[in-house]
Amino acid sequence: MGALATRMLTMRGWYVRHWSLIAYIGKRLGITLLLAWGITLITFLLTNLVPGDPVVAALGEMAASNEELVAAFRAKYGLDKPLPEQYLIYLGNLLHGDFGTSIITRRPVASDLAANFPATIEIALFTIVSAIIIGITFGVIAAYRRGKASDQVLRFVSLVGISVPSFWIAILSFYLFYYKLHWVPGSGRMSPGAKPPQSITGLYTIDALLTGDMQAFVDAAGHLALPVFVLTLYAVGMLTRFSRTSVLEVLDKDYVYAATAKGLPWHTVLFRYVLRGALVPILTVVGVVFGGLLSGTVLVESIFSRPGLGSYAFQSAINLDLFGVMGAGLVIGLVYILTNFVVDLLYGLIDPRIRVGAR
Amino acid sequence: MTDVQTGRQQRKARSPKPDRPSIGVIRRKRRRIPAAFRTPLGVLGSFIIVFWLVVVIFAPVIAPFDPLALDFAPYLPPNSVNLFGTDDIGRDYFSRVIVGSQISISLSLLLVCLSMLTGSAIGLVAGFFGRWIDEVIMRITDLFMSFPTVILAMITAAALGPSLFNSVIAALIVSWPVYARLVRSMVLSLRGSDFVAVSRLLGHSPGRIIVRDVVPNVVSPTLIMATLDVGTATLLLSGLSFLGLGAKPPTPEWGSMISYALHNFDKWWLGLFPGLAIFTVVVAFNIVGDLLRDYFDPEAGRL
Repeated sequence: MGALATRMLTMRGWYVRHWSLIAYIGKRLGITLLLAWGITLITFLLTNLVPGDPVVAALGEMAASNEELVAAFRAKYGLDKPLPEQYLIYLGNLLHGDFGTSIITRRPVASDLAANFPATIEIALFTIVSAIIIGITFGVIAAYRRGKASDQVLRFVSLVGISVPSFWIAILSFYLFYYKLHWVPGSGRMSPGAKPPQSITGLYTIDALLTGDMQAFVDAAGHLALPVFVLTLYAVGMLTRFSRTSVLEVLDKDYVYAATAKGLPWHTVLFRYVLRGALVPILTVVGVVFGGLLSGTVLVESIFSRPGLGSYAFQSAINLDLFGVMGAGLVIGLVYILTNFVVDLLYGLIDPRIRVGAR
Repeated sequence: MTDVQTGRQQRKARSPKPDRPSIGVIRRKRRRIPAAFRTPLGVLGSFIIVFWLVVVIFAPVIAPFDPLALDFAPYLPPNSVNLFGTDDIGRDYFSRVIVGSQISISLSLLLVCLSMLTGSAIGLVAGFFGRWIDEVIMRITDLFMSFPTVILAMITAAALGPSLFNSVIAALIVSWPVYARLVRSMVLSLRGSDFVAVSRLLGHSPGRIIVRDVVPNVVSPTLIMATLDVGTATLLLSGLSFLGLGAKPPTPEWGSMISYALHNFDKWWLGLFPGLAIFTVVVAFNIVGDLLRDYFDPEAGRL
């Protein structure tokens, strides 16, 4: 009994000490829910208050002139009810994890999303990790060699990265590396006929490694190379640009001069002093870049005919598949909001001055 | 102490040719071009923008053939007559890229103007009236910003139906919040300033204070932001057209022209040239926007 009481008391102490953090997380989760609701509202309004008719898109012009068929179709998907009622029904189902039924694939949107989610996360994850490594390195080099030739070159590279249309570079690189040089396999996630590895995480490359299937790994990684390359170009451009600025700012600080003057080795100064100080603005940009990547997947997945949230959102959008669009928009929006939430939480970890509640 | 110098003497001592005969007028004029714009990159950026503006204005004169006429054999690779080759139904691709500039560039500029005006107006209202109006407007802004841009623009464009005009509306929906935020934050700091307080004490109406006291102070940062935004706008609009949600054939628009190459990627010229056009425009506006910002507002570059 005594031990439990002590434990409860210490737990209580933990809650008290971290109250502002808990309240902050709670508040942010509340805002996230509110934003998620807003996203469904926006997509619902957009897909309904416009001239396009999903029935024509789904059934085709011929069948759409058959009134009986149209009425049956509307009744099946609940499109015959008044709009506010349709929306409330959708929200109610959403709370039970039911995203509705796709008008195009005729399958539950939730299972469509679950099937497409890992493919997009695979691209986004590989891109953001390689972009963080390359981009921050470039930014640090450019800042340390400010005004020198290497700075000029790196700044130009990052300028090109943020200015180049991703769909253009995707097509050109496909032409060069697939058609001309045969360095990479064609489009899709795996070669036709190749068996995807046993699903553990849903990310083919990781699953192949986990099951030790090297052939599948090489195939999946080859298919992943170009999409990741195209998106990395943009992400590296953004990250180089902003890490350079924020490292430059820190390099001018007295504590960095002091650390150097003390005779600390350069790597200690770089990792313990410079990067620690420059990391908060860089993290902010990582959050922004992640949103850009999710946007970029629409174009890149369509070009490389990869399944994924982006191409699913695109297919549902052009076919005016209301439930598909709302589901995809909701999931993509949530991933983006939650990423930025995590970024905000990391601020406090990196920089004790921005602990929550202190603002 | 003889080595105490006035500012003017210091400047003289530092300048490489201290005692040039006075050709003051010319020298003063030359100094108006900031040093940043005389770097190779600045020259390049300004040159490309001027180049494209000339092309936009004189496109029908520059284009050797009718961009819509089926004058040649399909899929000719670039040659001395068709500098950029021909497309799937034998139209001269060089003429299409040149005339396409009129659509792609002017639409981007139009979009930037529209989003600047809409966003600034909303930001002005939010910042100036504050309280619950500010709160409501900023939450709506947050909502639009929490959506990855291309996704929201794509949904809007698809819902409105594919057309050039609708793609501009769709892009407008995702691009106004940035301006609203920028203008709001500036207005918030201006609102507490003495000259606004004086104006209020003089009994001026809110409308007059906004127009006469607030707006002049937010114009230049907003314009710099707009210059930087032209690149993003061009990429977004051409991306929508590439997806088939903007320009409809046979309109020559760069994004939709690149999509010809999607299913004919062995015909490299179909993708290369319109993409190069988009790329140069975006690079040039990014360079010039950066320079303008560094020159007028060195603090703003920090995120």
